[in-house]
Amino acid sequence: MRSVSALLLAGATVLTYGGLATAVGQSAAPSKLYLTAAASSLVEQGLAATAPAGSDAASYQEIPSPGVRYLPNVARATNVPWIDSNGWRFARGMRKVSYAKVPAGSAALAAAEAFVFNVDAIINPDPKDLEDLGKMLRFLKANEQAPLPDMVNIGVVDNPSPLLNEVLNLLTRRNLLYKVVPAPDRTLDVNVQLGTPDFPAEAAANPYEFAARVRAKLGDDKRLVRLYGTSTVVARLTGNKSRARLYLLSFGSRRQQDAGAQAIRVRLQGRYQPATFAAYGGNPDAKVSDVRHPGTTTEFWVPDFNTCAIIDLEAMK
Amino acid sequence: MDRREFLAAMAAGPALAALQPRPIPKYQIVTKFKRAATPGMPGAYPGRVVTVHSPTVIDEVTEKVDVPTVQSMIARGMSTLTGDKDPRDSWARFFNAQDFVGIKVNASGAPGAMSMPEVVAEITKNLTTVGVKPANIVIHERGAGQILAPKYHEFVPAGVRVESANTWLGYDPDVYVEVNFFGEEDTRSYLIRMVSEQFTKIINVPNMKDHGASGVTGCLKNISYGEFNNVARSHYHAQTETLTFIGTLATVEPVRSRTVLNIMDGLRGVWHAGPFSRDRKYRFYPKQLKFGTDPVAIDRLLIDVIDEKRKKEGVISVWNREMKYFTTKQEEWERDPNMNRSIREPGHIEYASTLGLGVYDIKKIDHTELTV
Repeated sequence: MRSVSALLLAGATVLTYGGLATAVGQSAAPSKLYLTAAASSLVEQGLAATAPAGSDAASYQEIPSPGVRYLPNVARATNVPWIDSNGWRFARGMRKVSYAKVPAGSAALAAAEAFVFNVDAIINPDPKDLEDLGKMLRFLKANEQAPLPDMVNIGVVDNPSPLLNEVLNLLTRRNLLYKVVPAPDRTLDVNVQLGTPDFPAEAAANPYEFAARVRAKLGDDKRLVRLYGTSTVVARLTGNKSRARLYLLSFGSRRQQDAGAQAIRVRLQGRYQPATFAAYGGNPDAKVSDVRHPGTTTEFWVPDFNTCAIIDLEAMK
Repeated sequence: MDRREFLAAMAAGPALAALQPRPIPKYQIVTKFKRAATPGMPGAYPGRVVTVHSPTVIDEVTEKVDVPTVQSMIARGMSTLTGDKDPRDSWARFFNAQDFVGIKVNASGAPGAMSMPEVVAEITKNLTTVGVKPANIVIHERGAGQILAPKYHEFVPAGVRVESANTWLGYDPDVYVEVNFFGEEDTRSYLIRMVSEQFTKIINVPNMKDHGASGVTGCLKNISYGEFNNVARSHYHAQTETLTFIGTLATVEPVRSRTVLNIMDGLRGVWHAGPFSRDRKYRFYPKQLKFGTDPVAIDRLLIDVIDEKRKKEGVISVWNREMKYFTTKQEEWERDPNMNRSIREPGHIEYASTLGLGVYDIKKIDHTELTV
């Protein structure tokens, strides 16, 4: 196995190890969540801070509420989910965001999204969501830790083309773990640069096709995360050479992932032993099950969860 | 191109290419199980099918099933299949007191189309007569919603279980088929775990139905798409991959070795818009049961049952592949039995024969027909 360099924390130590992924610099502090006056009761409970005002607030960029829409697929009688995730915005560098318009039922997901992607966020919840949001904030607080670097093996060379946004959005949805880079990074398995023979600019006009092209170029065997049994969960993998943390963010209509007793199977590149499993809306005693290590990978079933699950893993010697 | 256009392009691409032949997908079968010396499919009686008809087994108006007639049909069908005088001897050829038996029903079209509870109940009673404990009989489907609709528990002996992958054991992480058909993200189809970890034998009880993608849905499709997850991905487009996927799944061990008996419930059937039965006008009443160990031979005969009914109704054959009959609009294929949402692939049955699952050649099928 070839060695690749891993960049740990923003501008920090560069080291080399026998892993498969490059870790991306991240804020060293956990995300900070702020609530507007609509959720002052949750602020009083110490679950979040009061949203900044004035010029402080102006530094937070408004982003859409995360969610899912079911659009008709013309070929069949059912609808296909279209995930509205802000993961690609965060990958492009947004670190301070405002969920100013959050429809009822979405506040907990917005909080989880900001937490999972480790961004500071102001959330303006619908009053109907306060109970759910409070539970989510308690869950997130209980699972807060110093952030680990993102693990990615795809580099997307930044480009002012608006088409790149949809491409990044599709890569996020397909769990093709990437970082946006200013220039090709040879430590990564694939570099995506619009206008090159592998990735012609015109191909980006169809992000589906483009994401498929990136996937094919990388090869499924090299993907850092595969999720089987769901099409509405976005994964974020963070880690260093001794441990990893996998976040699963469910965008399904009820955000409940329980299509079967063991609905989602995860495959990770690297050999890990799952240490803890935390699920919002799940059984507090649930554990990942049927852990296997085919080749250089780790596989396991994920128990039921709602909106967000966090799996901490220890690297095997 | 906006998001809606992306989705349209996804579907239309394969539709436009529908008449182009597609290569056989690259299947990777992962299983820890070995094939039995004599696998259940095609089993002890390759090429043999017994059809038992009864004009009085079901009332076409009320759809009430006559239980004594079902009992007679099953007794005659089993004894004719094996050549035994006493049907208990026939059942004893397949099952004994040590067995843990899964009954794979089809409830996807319930309540309009399903493995009839009266038929399933009679099968469970016959199992108990040869010593199988009720607690070791599990009527099952993949999905919890589907298995509950027929209310099997109200018909079967006490102790017989009704389960799905959602309610019991989930899926086996070590038995799956990996294949990428259309660039879908989820490329694995896992076997439900009760099949691999609990059952020693399986009885397959499909219905007689048209299927918009596979042409017909009988023994092969019931035992394959019904025991594995993530199978609908094969038929999201006009041109499907049902031709090869159905048979491939049926060959996976231990499914192939443990599926020792097929009893096709043809009391009711669906001749269009299957596998569901939302519109009663597409329901019909073949009033028969088919018995055999060879799923290919039974399904070969099923094609004729469905196609003859369609011919009688004056609509296109399940073999018709003309794109002019393809539509993406549900209301069109539900309203007009000449329209369809996919190019049907009844050839999946012949393909399964090439995998060793049974006899497809109609001239080589030993078909006995009886009426009670």
